[in-house]
Amino acid sequence: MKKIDIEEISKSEYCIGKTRIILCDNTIIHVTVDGDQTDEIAMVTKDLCLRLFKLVDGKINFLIDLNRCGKNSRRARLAWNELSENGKCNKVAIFGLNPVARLIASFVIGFSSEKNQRFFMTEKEARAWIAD
Amino acid sequence: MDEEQLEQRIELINQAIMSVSRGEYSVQLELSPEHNPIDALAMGINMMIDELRYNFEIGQENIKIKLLNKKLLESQRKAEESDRLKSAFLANMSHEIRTPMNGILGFAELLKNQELSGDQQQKYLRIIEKSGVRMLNIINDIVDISKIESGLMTVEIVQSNINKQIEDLYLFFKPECESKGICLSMKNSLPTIQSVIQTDQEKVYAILTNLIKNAIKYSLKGDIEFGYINKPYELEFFVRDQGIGIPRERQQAIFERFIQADLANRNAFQGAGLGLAISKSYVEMLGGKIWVESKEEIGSTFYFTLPYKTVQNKWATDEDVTLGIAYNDSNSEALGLKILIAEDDESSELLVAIGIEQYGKEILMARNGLEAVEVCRNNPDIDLILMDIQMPVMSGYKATKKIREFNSEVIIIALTACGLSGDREEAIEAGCNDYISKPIKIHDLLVLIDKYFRK
Repeated sequence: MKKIDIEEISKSEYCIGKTRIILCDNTIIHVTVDGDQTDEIAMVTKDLCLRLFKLVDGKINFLIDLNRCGKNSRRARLAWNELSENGKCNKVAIFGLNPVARLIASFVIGFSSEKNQRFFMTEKEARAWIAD
Repeated sequence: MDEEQLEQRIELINQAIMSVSRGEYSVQLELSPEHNPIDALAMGINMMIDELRYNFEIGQENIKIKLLNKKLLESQRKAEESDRLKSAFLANMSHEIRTPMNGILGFAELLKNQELSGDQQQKYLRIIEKSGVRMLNIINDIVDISKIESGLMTVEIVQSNINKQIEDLYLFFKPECESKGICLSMKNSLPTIQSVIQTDQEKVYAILTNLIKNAIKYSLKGDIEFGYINKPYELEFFVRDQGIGIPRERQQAIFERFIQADLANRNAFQGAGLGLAISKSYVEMLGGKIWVESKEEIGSTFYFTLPYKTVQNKWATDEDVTLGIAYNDSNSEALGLKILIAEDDESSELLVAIGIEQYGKEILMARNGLEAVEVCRNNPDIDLILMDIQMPVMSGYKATKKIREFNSEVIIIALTACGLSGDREEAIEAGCNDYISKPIKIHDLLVLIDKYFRK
């Protein structure tokens, strides 16, 4: 299995490949997905998010930008599903303006049995739903 | 994107879908950096192809699991069947050993009655003897199957005259067949000069004996024919009877251990159910195969093959391949030997003492190995020691080693009860000149003594 490294930009900002993950205000994990989400990338991303969960006392939300996202593997969708079902997770707001983002969001949300995930066209709409 | 580019991409999507329809799940469509609707369509198709591949692989796994489950169920059924057969075997074995034991103990008790006539005594003795032989057969079968299972059974290839073996067996079984009203016949298809083969003579004898015994046991009337025919590179032996036959569904199973014990009508036929399993093992050890053709109420023919390579150039006469010294009554004149019998069991000691009485001018006794050593030390003129191996205080092998420290001349013959391969080597290594297995046949013992003293 190909080894994927986590690049620590700061205590709250990380890069996994081209994907950027930022913990904002101890309430939101902002994920800007870039490129294909392979099994390996998904596992490392999940582990990092679980580590970030431990840094936060209360519940946490996901804000996921799929504008530059590539193909999601089945295991990647499974990993996102596990994160959304985690007791620490409150809402998962997915957004993306282009048709590919919408399609991937559809696959990801369709894979989950939880109803705490929604797709939005813009980041603004997504943040508003989280804040609501 | 112009119309031509759009057509090309749609064509690529069509081709991908057609590939998937042929079961090619590795196909994937390329996406442009634009992430336009066509890219979304291509991405959707790519991800659906992944799902199809995943489901296909799961399906394949399920098929494998179903097959494994089927095999597991079959193994479980076989294990349960084996367990059941072993239980049946143990129950049958218990019966097979207790019945002759009952005859031996019961009639020995009756023999204590001093008012019995001579005829009655002889009749009871015959029953005891017959029961003893029956029990010995069972013990031999158990020892043989144990040797086979533990890998101790070895093959001893010698020159063997097959025609002579067939004739010997014919003469041996003819009286028994005649007493049952069965006509026994034999068939040899090679001239004597070509009938000498390299094989394990004892095992061939055991296989044929077992098959002929079975033929007699399961025949109430009709004929029994046995012998062999010559085929390219092998001899095909057969034993044909007109007995009760074997149901088709049991024809494979009868070569497995314990099977006879499972027959519903087993009470009608004595035996441990090991004979055919032993025969099959022997045949396979000799490089052949065994099978049966049978019809119920018509009869059975057992076949087995042996590799055939004639050794006629080395063959001269029967005597050349006969080992040992033939014993006859004219040899029984006194040898005037001083003999020590080292034996802890009183009845065995008495049997040997009576048997060799005519050869001894003096017979000494010892009840354990230590006594044997002492007696031997005090009587340096002893000619022969018959040494039981399993004795208290000091074993026969240890006693032999002690005796050899001061007497290398005396002839020592080990009397063993184990009947295992390696007995002979162990006896020789301990310092014995020879060995004989219990139960001891006096005739064989005398032949052995003749070998050393009648030169």
